[in-house]
Parts: sequence; structure tokens; C-alpha cells
Amino acid sequence: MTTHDQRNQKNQIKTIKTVQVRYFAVLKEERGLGEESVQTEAETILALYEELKTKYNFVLPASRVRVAVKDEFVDFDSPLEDQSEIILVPPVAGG
Amino acid sequence: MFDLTDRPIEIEKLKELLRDDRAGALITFEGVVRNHNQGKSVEALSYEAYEPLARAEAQRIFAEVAERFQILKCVLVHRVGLLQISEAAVFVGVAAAHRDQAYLASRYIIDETKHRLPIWKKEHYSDSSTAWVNCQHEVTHDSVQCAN
Repeated sequence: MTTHDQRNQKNQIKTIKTVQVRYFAVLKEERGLGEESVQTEAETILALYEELKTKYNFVLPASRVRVAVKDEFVDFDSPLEDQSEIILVPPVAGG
Repeated sequence: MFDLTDRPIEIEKLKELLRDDRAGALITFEGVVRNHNQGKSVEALSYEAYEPLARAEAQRIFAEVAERFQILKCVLVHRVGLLQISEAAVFVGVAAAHRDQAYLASRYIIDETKHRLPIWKKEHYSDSSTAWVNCQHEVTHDSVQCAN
């Protein structure tokens, strides 16, 4: 396989995904809403967060945010799945 | 048993749930809204939670408790919405045959709750300003603030 072929293949893989993003607490206030549908080419959840952080000037760096899919915390480096629901969890403070 | 509620926590009813003839110890803990934090005068607190994740994470904490400690029953209830000074924000109850295990399990549940449940707290100060606890830009050594 030539470098040219590899580049083409990579370009074909990069597709636009549609995901549902949920915001809470400080993120909800900064974004101005609790959830939205987002179209993105981000390949990981971390890349999606960085994209949103830049777009909406989120104060919190990714290192201080956790992320969950459905009812489970997942690794920020997890691949971003099309049609998934991403729950962004700013620092918690129960109790 | 885990629950989130937007109404005052019914402590006595929860204690009844913990009754067990095999229990020699019943430890209960209430996290209460106090009128100050970090040198600022606090008027009220509001809590927000993401229920599906909170329920699942609470069940994981209970599973860990069952594995680590010898207890009979445990209960965890957290308030959401606006709370006034002296209201209970969280209730933890543990019944066990002996007090050592009840104390340890109770401490484990409240500590893990604070660190893991998707619950957020906003302080409303006397000067009308507000702040989400732990969500400031800078990480400071006082970042583990709490209502209790």
C-alpha cells in the first residue's frame, strides 16, 4: 500500500458523527443549555471536549472533567461513537 | 437503598428501613447546610444531579461496601434543588452486627459519594453572588469543600 493510498483510506474513515451531549452545573451555565445534538469529526471523546471547550470558552480543562456514556464513567480517550450520548461531568461536590 | 429527592429527607422513615434484629449498631450521618464556607457567608445551597448515572454509581458503591465490610443494611439519600441553612443535604445510614464495621462502612459511603456521584453544589452567598463548588479554574488545596 502506498502512502497515497493510506492517506486516501484515512480520509475516507474520517466521517461526520452526530452525538448527543449533556452539560451540567458550570458547563451548563457556560453553554447556556443542558443538552444538544453535535455534529463532529472528533475521533475521541477528548477531542470532542476540546472542540466544545474552544467553541464555548469552557473554563475547565479536560483534566478536571470526567465523562460518562449511558450510566458508566468511561476513559476520556475512548473513541467517539456515532449516535452516542456523551455526559460531561464537571468536578462533583455532593454531600 | 439509594434515592435522590427534591423534598426534605425523611430521616425517621429511613432509620426505620435500617431496623434489623441482627443489628447491634446503627450509624447515621447527616450532611447539613452550614452558613459559611471558606470565609464567606452562605445563605443557601442548590444541588443538581444526573440521576441515571448517580443511581448506577451508588449501586457500585453499595457493591463495594458489601464486599469490604460486614454490614446488614445501608441507605443513602441525597437532596437536590434549593436548600436552606440547617437542612440535611445527605443522609447515610448503616446497620451492622458490630459498631466497627458500621462506622467504617458509613465513612466509606459518604467519602465515595462526595468523590463519585454526579452531584453538583452551588453556593449562594449573602452578597448575592454564587459559585459552583470545586469548579473554579484554578485547583486549590481547598478544592474539596463540603457542606458538612
